[in-house]
This record gives sequence, C-alpha cells and structure tokens, in this order.
Amino acid sequence: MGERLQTDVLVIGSGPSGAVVTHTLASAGVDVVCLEQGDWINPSDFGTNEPEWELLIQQQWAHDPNVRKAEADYPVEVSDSDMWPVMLNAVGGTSLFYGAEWVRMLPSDFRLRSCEGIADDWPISYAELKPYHDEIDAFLGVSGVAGDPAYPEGLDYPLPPHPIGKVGMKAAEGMNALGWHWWPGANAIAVDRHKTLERCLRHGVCEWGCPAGAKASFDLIYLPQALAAGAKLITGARVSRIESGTDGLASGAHWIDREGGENFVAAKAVVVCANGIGTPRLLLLSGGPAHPDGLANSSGLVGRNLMLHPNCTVTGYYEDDLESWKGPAGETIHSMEFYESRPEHSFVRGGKMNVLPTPGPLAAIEAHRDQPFDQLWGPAFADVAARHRSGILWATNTEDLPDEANRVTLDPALTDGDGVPAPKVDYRIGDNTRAILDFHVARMTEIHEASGATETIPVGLWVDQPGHLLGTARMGEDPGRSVVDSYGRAHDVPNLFVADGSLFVTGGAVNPTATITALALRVAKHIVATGAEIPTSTGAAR
Amino acid sequence: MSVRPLSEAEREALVAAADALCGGGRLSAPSATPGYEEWLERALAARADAFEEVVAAAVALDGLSLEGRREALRRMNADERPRFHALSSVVAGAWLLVPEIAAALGYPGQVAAPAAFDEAATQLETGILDPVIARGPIYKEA
Repeated sequence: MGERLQTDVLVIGSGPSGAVVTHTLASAGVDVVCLEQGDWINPSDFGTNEPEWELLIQQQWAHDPNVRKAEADYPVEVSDSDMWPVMLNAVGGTSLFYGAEWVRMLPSDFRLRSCEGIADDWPISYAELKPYHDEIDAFLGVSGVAGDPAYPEGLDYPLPPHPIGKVGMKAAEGMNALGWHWWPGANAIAVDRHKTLERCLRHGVCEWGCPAGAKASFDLIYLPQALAAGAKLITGARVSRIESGTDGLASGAHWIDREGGENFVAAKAVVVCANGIGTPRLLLLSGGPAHPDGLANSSGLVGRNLMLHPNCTVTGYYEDDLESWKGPAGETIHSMEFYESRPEHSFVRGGKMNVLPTPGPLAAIEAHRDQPFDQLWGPAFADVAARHRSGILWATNTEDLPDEANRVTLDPALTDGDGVPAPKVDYRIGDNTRAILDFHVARMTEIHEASGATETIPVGLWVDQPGHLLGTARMGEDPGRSVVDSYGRAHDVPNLFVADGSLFVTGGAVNPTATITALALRVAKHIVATGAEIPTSTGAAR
Repeated sequence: MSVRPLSEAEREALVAAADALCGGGRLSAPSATPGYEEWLERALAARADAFEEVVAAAVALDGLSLEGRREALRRMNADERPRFHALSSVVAGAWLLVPEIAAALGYPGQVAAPAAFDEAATQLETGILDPVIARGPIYKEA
C-alpha cells in the first residue's frame, strides 16, 4: 500500500463538475481532495499551437480515447455501439476539447412526462436550476445576448457577445429569409480578460484546445480558484474502486498512481464526477457485500439510459469569403426553431441547431472525402482546399430519449493500462432519433440554400461526436426508478454523491455542460449545507 | 523528426504520391514546391502512428506513371479507405503546410485576430436580429 490520505470529501474527476464541486467545497472551508487520472495540459502544449494541427488532431490530439491512446486514457469497448463516445482524461477533463457552447435546457426539458407523456420528469425545474446557472455564468464570464425569445424572461449573460462574424451573418440571413428562430451564440469563452481566463483571440481551434487560454476549460477556471481555497488535487490518480464499509456507506477510494502503486484516500463523503461513462464504470467496479450489483445499484439503473446526443451536420460552401478560419468555435448563432415537439412531425422532441466556422484547409478536404475522386484529388485539390475560407457548418444536437438498453457495463476482457476493467458501451440510435436527424439534415440544407450556398455536404451522423455522456446514474425521487436524488445523493449510499452528466433524467438537446455545472453547484451547496447530517462509514474497509 | 529516417527511394515515393494527389492544378505540384520535403517530415511526425503504413502505401506506387499512380490511388480510395486516408492526409496535408501554399489558399493559420470592441455591436446594429425579436417569444410553457 502506497500513500494513505484522509479527507472530509473526496471528489473523483476534475472535469467541469468535479472542478465546481471541489471549488465550492473548498471555498466553504471543507477539507477536500480531488483525484484526477490525467495531468495538467498547458495551453501552450496543445497541438493547436503547431502549423500541422490538423494532422495532430487525427491521432495525438484526437477526441476519441480509442484513437488517441494516451497514457491517462482508458479504452472504451464500442463494437456494439452506433456511436463512439469521446472524452479527455486530463485536469479539466473534456472541457479542454469542448466548444464551450453555453446553452441552458428549456423549461419543457424538465417535464416531458407531465407535458408530453414520454420518458420521465426531472425532480427539479428550470426555475429551480436558474440561480445556479446564473452563479456559474457569472464565475465563468459567459458571453451572450440577453432576451433570447426561445427562453423565459430573465436570461442574461455577464459579458457581451462575441461577434457572430461573416459566418454568422450569412447564416442569419438564411434564417431570416425562412422566418426561423436564431440568436447570437452563448459561449463560455472570455470576450475579454476575466478572472484566470485570457481574452479570446479567435484562433478558431477551440474544440482541440484553446492556445490563448480564453476558453473556460475547468483547468483554467474553477480549479485554480479551488486550489487557492485549499483544495488538494492529485493528478495521475486512477481510481479503481470506491470502498464501502460493512454498513454499506462509502469510506474512501483506492487509486493507482503513475508507477502502478496502490493508494487509498479515506473520506467521510465521496462525490463521483467521472462523466457519464466513467461514473457508472466506477460504481459497477465498486460492488461489495452490501452492494452485490455495484455501488448504488439496487435499482439496476447504474449504467443504463445512456444518452449521447447524436449530431448531424450540413456544411455549406459559398462564393463569398467568410473568413471561416476565424473563431470562436463556439457557436456563432443557434436556433431553437425545431427544438420542441410539433404535431406535424413524425417524431417527438427535436434538436438544437447551431453554426460554427470551418477552420483549416485540410478540414475542407475532409468534408469532401466522399466526393468522386477526381472532384477532390489531382488538379481539383487546391480549389477544394481553398474553400475553407467560405464554409459554414450547421450542426444539430438531437435529443435521444432514454432507453434502458443503451448502457455502460464492464467489459469482461478489455482493461485499461492498470488492469482495471474497461467500460463497454451498448448504444443504438432509435427510430425517433433517426427521424430527428433526417429532419434536421433537410432543414439545414434548406437554410444553406436560403443563405445562397453553392455546395452543401450533409453528414447524417457524426459517429465520433459529441462528448455528451448523459443519464447513466439518473436522479429522481423513486429509488426504484433512479440512482440518486435531486441533490445527487445515492439512494442506497447516503454519503455517496454523483454530480456529472450521469444525473440527467432526459437529455434535452442543448450542449450539456452548462446544465452539468449548474447541477454540480447545486449538489455541492447541498453537501455544504447538510454536511453535519451526512452519515459516515464506521465499518472497516473491506 | 519522423520515427525513422526516410530512404531516398521512400522520400521520392511519397513526393510522387503527393504529386498525384495535389498536382496538376493552379499551384505548383509538391515536387516543384520549395520546402515541401521539410513539411513532409513534419507531417509524418504528426502521424507517427501511421508512419510505416503511409510509407508502404507510397512505395507500392513505385514505378507507375503519374496517371498510373492516380489510378492506383483511385482504387485505394475505393477499396482501402483507412490506408488511403492516412496516406493522403500526410502527403497532401504536408503540401498545405508549406507557407507559400497556405497563403495562396488564403489560410493565415491560427493567427491572433482579436475582435474590435464594437464589432459585435456593429453587426447586431444592422438590424439583422429585428425579425427574430419582432416574432416574439417562442418558448413552450411547462
């Protein structure tokens, strides 16, 4: 046995939710340790600093851990999945690779059962979550324009918006011609220096690591403040198991260091923030006599109801020079026109559409890969590559409804570099989601035509995007139909909390990090407020 | 910078593959682009995971004419997509990295382009948002 620590609260994972929880607890004077299996990545080390960044993101800086295969990564078995979940294992988690599109769920998202008779209601409402959103937004310095008519009154942003650019203006012209909703993008990218964030320099490479340190990845904001408040962060710490005592309560976690040594942190409470794949993996790895089917899994729902927000896109190319290499990316504009169910649709729910630029000449080549050979290669090559300046990417984040068959389990054979069983993902895109995808490909093509595109390239499904990993430890009031309560507390283990995307009851169709962090803040504040009442394990660790 | 030094024959094969994939258009072919081979080394290093596959795929085209190489690459694209993807990404991607080529294609790189303080406001003051605002709230009560 290597290092043995003791703390009041152990946080597992330093992504957006782990960072918010760690900061909130530390700021309240709680003794907190955060374990992160990855390491710090300096913004100056991203592949996006190099001229060959478009090649580096194909493997060394790829979003898919099965492609990247970095030391901190664990493999994800996806042979029975229609999509390949992506993530980054590093301080700040996958936020180093997100677009920082900072969009809240809509009121209807929380009440699908009551309003439409589908899926389940959340145990909290839009209004209950709003103050937590507002606090997070103020901390991050989210930029945007108040008054989006797709939301109830009262949604404002602490910093002014980024320019929507020539890309956004052109896309907006098409939306106006069609009479459809759009609004300038809301992004957690600092439009000016803010706390520990630098000013956005519009490099355009946000989703592969911001070289400027302007994007609100949680290694750059929240975690620095958490450490200043006294939190202890241990990197290179892969948690292999949450321990529980004979009383069934969590007593701490075992972790493996970079040298393969085994260590233990004893804790009065444990908060799991390992994302919608890593959290159920860890809970399933942590079974014991009191928890024969995995920790907190008496409902059998740990790992089930995985939602991944299947994305489709249509890239359009225009005659005009749109400066499509320029960021942020980040959404320039978004649309909620087809977010809600409509009686004339063949499907329920819908999607959130948004616009991004198309930085890089190799990206233009990749977009044209399925074109006939002679239209891309040879004499045509330079002209196709030059189209990168005139591209607009419309993308739709679709709502995939919860399905218990879509799940995370432990693979019986595959392991990570430390011999810990890897997660296996079983995920099939349902007919309803397929219909939403097809519908939005047609609508996005229509928008491009209205904006004057000379060429459109549809992609019906982005197999390896996005990293929206949701629903695998869902919250609810009924212990038979949920894993945790509305404060993330496990029904089975009252000193164990979940505070990441696993909590989602339904997925909505917006980029989820804003909601994830608002939930995490709510969980953390509840722990602070009720700390003295949280039972602690008295049984000996197994 | 590559995982191992290239032999002269391998280097020639990679440049020849690049000519087949990128040449013949309005810009100089890779073999006639000064500096291409240095950027090829850098591209190979960026895809070190595919180094041997890329080199072998290019060498397999050895001895073919330009049109013969193009035809072989056309078949590779149809029948061996991952192999073609790796080869084409590296040898064509290297050409896109040559500063003169990037400039000719209008790519400034990841340059700092901070927004002017009034840029966002100027865009919105064109009235482009007015139709959306005029339509009023669209959110669904729940």
